[in-house]
Amino acid sequence: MDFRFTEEQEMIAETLESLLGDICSTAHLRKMIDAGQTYEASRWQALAELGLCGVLVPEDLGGLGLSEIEFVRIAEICGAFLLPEPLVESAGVALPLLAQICGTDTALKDIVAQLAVGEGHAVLFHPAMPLAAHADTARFVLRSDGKRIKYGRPGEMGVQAQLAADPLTPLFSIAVGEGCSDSLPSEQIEKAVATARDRGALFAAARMTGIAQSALDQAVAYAREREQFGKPIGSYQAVKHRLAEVQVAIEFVRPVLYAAAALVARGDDLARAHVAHAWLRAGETVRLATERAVHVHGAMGYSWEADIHLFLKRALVLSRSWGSRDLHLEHVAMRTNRYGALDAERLFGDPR
Amino acid sequence: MDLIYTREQEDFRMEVRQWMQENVPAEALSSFDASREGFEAHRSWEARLNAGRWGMVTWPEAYGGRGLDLIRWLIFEEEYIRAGAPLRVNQNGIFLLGPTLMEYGSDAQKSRFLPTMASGEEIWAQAWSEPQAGSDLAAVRSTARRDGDDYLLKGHKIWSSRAVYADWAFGLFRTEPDEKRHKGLSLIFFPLDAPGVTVQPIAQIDGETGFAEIMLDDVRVPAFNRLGEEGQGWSICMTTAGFERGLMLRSPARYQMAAARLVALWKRLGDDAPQSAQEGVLQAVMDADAYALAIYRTASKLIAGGHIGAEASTNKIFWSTMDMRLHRTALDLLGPLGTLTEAAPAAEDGGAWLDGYYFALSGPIYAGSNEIQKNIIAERVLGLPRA
Repeated sequence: MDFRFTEEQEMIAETLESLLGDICSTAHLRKMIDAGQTYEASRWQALAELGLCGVLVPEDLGGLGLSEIEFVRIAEICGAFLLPEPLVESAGVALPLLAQICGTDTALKDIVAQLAVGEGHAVLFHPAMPLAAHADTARFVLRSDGKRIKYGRPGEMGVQAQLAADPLTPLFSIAVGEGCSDSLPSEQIEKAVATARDRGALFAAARMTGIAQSALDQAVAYAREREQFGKPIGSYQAVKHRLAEVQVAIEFVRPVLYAAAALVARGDDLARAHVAHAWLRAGETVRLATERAVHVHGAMGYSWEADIHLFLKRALVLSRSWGSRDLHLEHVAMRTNRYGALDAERLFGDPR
Repeated sequence: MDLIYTREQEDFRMEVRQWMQENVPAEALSSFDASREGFEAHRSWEARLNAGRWGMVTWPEAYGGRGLDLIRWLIFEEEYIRAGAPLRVNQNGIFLLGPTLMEYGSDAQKSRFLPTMASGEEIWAQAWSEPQAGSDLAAVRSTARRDGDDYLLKGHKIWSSRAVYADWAFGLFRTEPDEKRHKGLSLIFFPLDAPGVTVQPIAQIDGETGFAEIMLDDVRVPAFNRLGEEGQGWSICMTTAGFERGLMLRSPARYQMAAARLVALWKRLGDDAPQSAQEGVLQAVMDADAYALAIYRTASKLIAGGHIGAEASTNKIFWSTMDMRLHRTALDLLGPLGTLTEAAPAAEDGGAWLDGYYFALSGPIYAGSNEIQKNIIAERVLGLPRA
């Protein structure tokens, strides 16, 4: 029992953090928005060079063969920096699913290997994710009804551009497209799709957690600088307490999020209930963090000029992805019915 | 990250479970705040625990412990609470003062006070607040005047938990009367039966006398009873507060058990439970899970050599808020029945939910009010400017 990340895991996170600090500041994002762009090839390339596009792909298929424990931190950092490119969507969800279902199909295996080194990206449409980002430029589009999978190129699958609140998240819907059908036994496919869904919700929760932290940081920075009545507004308790409450909420999302990642990584039965908890808690926290951050900025927070609305809008999109409150509460209810709350052993899953 | 108990940890759990099964009194003890009998029954339980070397498993063997790490402490607590073992009457001693003594006490002080604390021979009360020094603790006025090898304690303490029946108390005193605020304070112990001590019980919201006022009129104690250096009282006191707000006083199992009872109540009510209460029940389960996971994570960090800092304040806000919400949900589930006291024939769970609600209501106040905790978080974690 050791609830810490290993040094290697910390190092991956630090490397990504410093990279995105250099190439994904809000100033960079502003330039993209002004130019009407939502994707920057050089940034994608930089992520690919770190091996991040294939983190969850097994080594024999050309990936790093790491687990959700590594990726949950990656997703959190992508959230914090509002990364526009679909790293989490592809490397966290669609690509590992594709790797799981490619079987002996060598053409599919080749595609997995190429995507794992960042030659394009894949996206997944699912009943819990009817609107997927960056589907038009995807090399590969997967679509599942929760049981079977169809896949193909964006044109074949009938993706249609929508306009989302977040200027850096181009969302697409999907028509009943043509495409190919999966070829593995249905039980195997269903299990793989269920895992992909769990990863989708888990990493959405991770991104929301990162955004919550960034929104809080921005609000704190503003509250230290902005003066009213002759003092920084952050010296007043009305402001202090609202921000302290956000800090408390964030502190209690992370353990839930990381435990959920560990349970998904070892395929535990309890994983889904913990993912649901992480999703619900992260959603509630990012709502609190972004709304309060907007309000702490005062009228400035309602302006296009202040960056905080970018965080609010990304949070709006993510907190409505990969399931609903009702769905996730139902998963928590299932755990509650099966086990008592004091089954401490069950808190950490089934020891195998 | 490895979230699986080791074989040794599992074995330890089973050992605790078995001992508890064989030793926990079948019938619940009466409250230690309601009568001398209840208090003494709890003292006997502490002695029994200590005889089995279960008093404080994290303490060194020399002081009656087992020298175990914090993960085992959490496992111990889970089994302790699962077994329905009595509340710890000496919690001010074993959870708060004990760890502080371990950090600041001399060897002689440790040998004098820790073993009798572990055995329950000496039960401790805290004596921090004063009528004019509540949230503003640095405003304490009580003095300790040096007289040879002794101090003469003078002043007025209030809201002292357990002071009605306890043997000893620890409190903050001004050893340098000219110094202001946080300076010139010392942490000093005094026997509650010493000449010059008057203890006046205060009835709580539930009618029990869980706390008291203490009047000190030139109470003579040896300088040996001072913990740490003269004038070091404030920083020592903050260490104690860290233990109080942090993971010792309120271990996660307590809330997991409360959530389990809430789930049981909800299931028992079935279709009679109001629809709107379901989310509150699930929230209670999630909150208890989140708190447990957070504490295990903190324990992992502490074992690896980390320190508990201002996160003690975040913990305190979380557990006190969660406890309120959980008990409110229980009362909502019960409707009018929730307002019945334990004496009422139709009371569910012996009126425990109402009692629990009253107690939860004190959570945002004691151990440093939640408003003070938010100031601490804002200033020390977030770096917002002081007022």
